[in-house]
Amino acid sequence: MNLGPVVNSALGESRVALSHDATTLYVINHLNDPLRSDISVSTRTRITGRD
Amino acid sequence: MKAASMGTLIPLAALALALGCGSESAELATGPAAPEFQAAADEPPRYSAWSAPANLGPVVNTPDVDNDVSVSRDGLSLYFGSNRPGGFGGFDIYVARRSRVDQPWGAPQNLGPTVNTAANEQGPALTRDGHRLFLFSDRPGGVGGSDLYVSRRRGSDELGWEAPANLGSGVNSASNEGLPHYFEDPVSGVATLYFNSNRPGYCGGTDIFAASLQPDGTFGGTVHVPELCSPLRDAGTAIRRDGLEMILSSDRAGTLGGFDLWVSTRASTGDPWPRL
Repeated sequence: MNLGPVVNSALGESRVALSHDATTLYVINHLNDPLRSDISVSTRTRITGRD
Repeated sequence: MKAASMGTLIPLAALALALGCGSESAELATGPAAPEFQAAADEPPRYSAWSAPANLGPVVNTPDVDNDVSVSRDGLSLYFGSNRPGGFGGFDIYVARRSRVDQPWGAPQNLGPTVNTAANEQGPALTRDGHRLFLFSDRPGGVGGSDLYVSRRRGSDELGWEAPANLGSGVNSASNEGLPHYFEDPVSGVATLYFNSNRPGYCGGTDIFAASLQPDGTFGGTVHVPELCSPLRDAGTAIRRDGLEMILSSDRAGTLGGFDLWVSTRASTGDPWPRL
């Protein structure tokens, strides 16, 4: 399923990496320009379950 | 986001059922061996929704293309590709360091001419032990187009990587291969290298493929991953270390524009990925 509009945008997001604890997502933002993209970070909190 | 969260719960519920059955069977076979504790210990993690992405800022990012990240297990080294000025040509691989995970990243360093060349080097993917770095490059001498390579190091020196070795024709083809992601199944111990390729004869655009570590230490046995494919471009993957969640970038139908991120969850690493 699509990760949704909080993370995704019309500009394009791709080429991700997860941190070891899976609470940080490194996202490439395409900035609507093939000659430009930046690295951003999105985070989440673990609610339950083992680390 | 609400729909996405609810959808994610479906496989979790399936897993809870599966675990329940498994615990019951174990209890019948071995007596009352604390099945409730076992179920809790095996419960997969649940997470809040992702926050809006925050730009890493001008210490790491430039006005050029900065992409293809991989972060070390300790969270202190960030490898990425960039075509910023001052490299050895085209895209090079860089690494940024920080002293603690709550500290800002330092200025990135080019991995140097042992790894980077006048051709493009992109898509760094670290193994968990930090001793191998997969990447892709269109340097001369490969199997064709962009190929996957692996560089090794013995210690933890960020600039101590050896010259990358081509992964060979068990993985690479006359078409392009890119965006490697290395996954070690914590249940089976099987090591899989996911990557994308535009080789003809599959779903179209670029598709996801998986190669496995062979007994002789090479990667081979490459298979197409049909459940992840679309007629458009299916690109980078990131898999949670328990193997139960994959985030895929794809510009397939339903995208909000260009590439979007998609998530697939499963109850067991023995299961195929549910269709996105």
